[in-house]
Amino acid sequence: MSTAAAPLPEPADRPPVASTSASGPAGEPGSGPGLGSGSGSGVRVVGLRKEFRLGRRSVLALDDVNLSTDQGSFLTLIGPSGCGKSTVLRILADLETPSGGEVLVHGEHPAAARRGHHLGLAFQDAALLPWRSVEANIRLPLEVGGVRADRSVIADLIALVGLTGFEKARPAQLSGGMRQRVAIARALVVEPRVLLLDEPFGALDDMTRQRLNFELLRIWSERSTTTVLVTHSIPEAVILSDTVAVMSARPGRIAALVDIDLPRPRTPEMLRSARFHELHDELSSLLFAGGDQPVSMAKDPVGSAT
Amino acid sequence: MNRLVTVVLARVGRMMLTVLASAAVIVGLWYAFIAVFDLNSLVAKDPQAVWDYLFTARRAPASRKAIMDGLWHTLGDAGLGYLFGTVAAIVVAVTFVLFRPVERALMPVAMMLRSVPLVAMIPLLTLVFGRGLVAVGVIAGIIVFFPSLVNLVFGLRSGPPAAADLVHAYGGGPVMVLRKVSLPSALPALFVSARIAVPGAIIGALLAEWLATGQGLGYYMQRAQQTFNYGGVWASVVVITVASIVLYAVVGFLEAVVLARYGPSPGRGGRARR
Repeated sequence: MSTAAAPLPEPADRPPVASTSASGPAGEPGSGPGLGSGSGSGVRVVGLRKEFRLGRRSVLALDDVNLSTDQGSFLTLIGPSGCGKSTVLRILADLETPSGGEVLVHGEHPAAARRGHHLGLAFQDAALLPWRSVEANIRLPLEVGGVRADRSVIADLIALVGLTGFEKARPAQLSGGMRQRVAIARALVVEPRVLLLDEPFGALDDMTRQRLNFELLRIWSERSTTTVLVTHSIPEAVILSDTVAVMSARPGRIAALVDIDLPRPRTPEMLRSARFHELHDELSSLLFAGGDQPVSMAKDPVGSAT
Repeated sequence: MNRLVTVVLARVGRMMLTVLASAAVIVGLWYAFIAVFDLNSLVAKDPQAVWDYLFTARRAPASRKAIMDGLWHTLGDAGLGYLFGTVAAIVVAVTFVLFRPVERALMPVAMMLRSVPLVAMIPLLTLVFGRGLVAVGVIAGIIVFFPSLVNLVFGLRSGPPAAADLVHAYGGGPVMVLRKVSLPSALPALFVSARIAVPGAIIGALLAEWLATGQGLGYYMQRAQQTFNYGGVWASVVVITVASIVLYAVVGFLEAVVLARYGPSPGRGGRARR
């Protein structure tokens, strides 16, 4: 179960960015891009491959993705659109099956974690059910899992995400930011071991997004849940994460791992610190060097055919 | 709760206005039609003649009784047809949503069957189902079935797409998705279908009575026509039309009550604003 047992992915045909990042300040010595500094007790992905079949064409979305984090750590996947970062998350959530490789969350296969209600999930689309109140929406995972829970659990969660007073409101009466808060409370209601977030703030304006980032940090530090976040936003990745995995597209690979050494707890003041800007610049240079094409051209949602 | 009452009253008020306006337009068109085409007053009765037939003529009470008896019978038949058609549509729509290949195989067949004129199929249907209540349920049900099926399949899929993923991720299967997401999100579609299907069920019931069972207003109208009782034909048409409109309004009222409870603006909330 240790990272040392996993083969280090350093094939010769890596995209150019991989070699630059290995020598850059990102990886610790000995940890090649694609393997985290973590022990793998949180999230452990080894040699993950995913192919999608589109008719007779087969598209390689992920190739040899390796990740490894500690329990309670915060990992962010960042990369151009179409690099397969959401696919990684969906595989961790057992919503897609891998074509190859090994995936473990807290030592369990995603399918087992899913059946054991150990996963919490939130998407860019809050996906609230319009006929249910805030309270009833948050209760949904419990009903689905057949788990009985105290009313106080839900009341506490509503307080945690700052929606006290809106228990009976319908989603249509809430702002976009409030809906995402509900979605995050819903993700936490099963007391998951692993929280999987796919651009949860992607549809929000910058101000709301920043406020919710710090709320997420507060919630995360109160619960210390192992978290995997997928995002497009570099500042979001830097301010939230312990480790940022930069992905390259066509096919999706981990191009570099960057440890974020900003001290915790993180504060809004850090957004103006020199270290934050260094990390931000490092990530953007990795991102814009990533792959053969400019980021804006990588539009294919599942990566390119090889 | 007060807000709920306001919403319901507003919806009902708007509906009543619509109904009154349509009634006025229909009566106006009726007179205009007869005047423009200069129709023979023996065959083409105007609203005044229908009024006389039903209320002021010497034999009005007897005519009224015959028509009202027929109407109740027809409404019963229509109710049966609505039940048959809607239950069948729900069962098939749920099957389609749970098993996509079944939908791909059968939806085109369903749409083709729909194009076969029902009148032409009725002799066949009576051979299979007889001339009793089952035949009525099937014939009127067929008219209800197809529009309801299309609406319900759409409605069952109208929930937030990521909600199905969520239910999966929390350990639920397809049946759980159906219960928690698809069926509730199909509720507005059920009412939309009802608004189309209830008048459809009445037409189907009339057809079944005319061609299969020989009872109710459907049969009465046919007999009245054969005996040159055109007053009876027109009065029946008016009565059944009014009954249709009333039922349509009742469905609208139920829809207003249920959807006001269902969500302030159903079908909008909770969906991503991209």
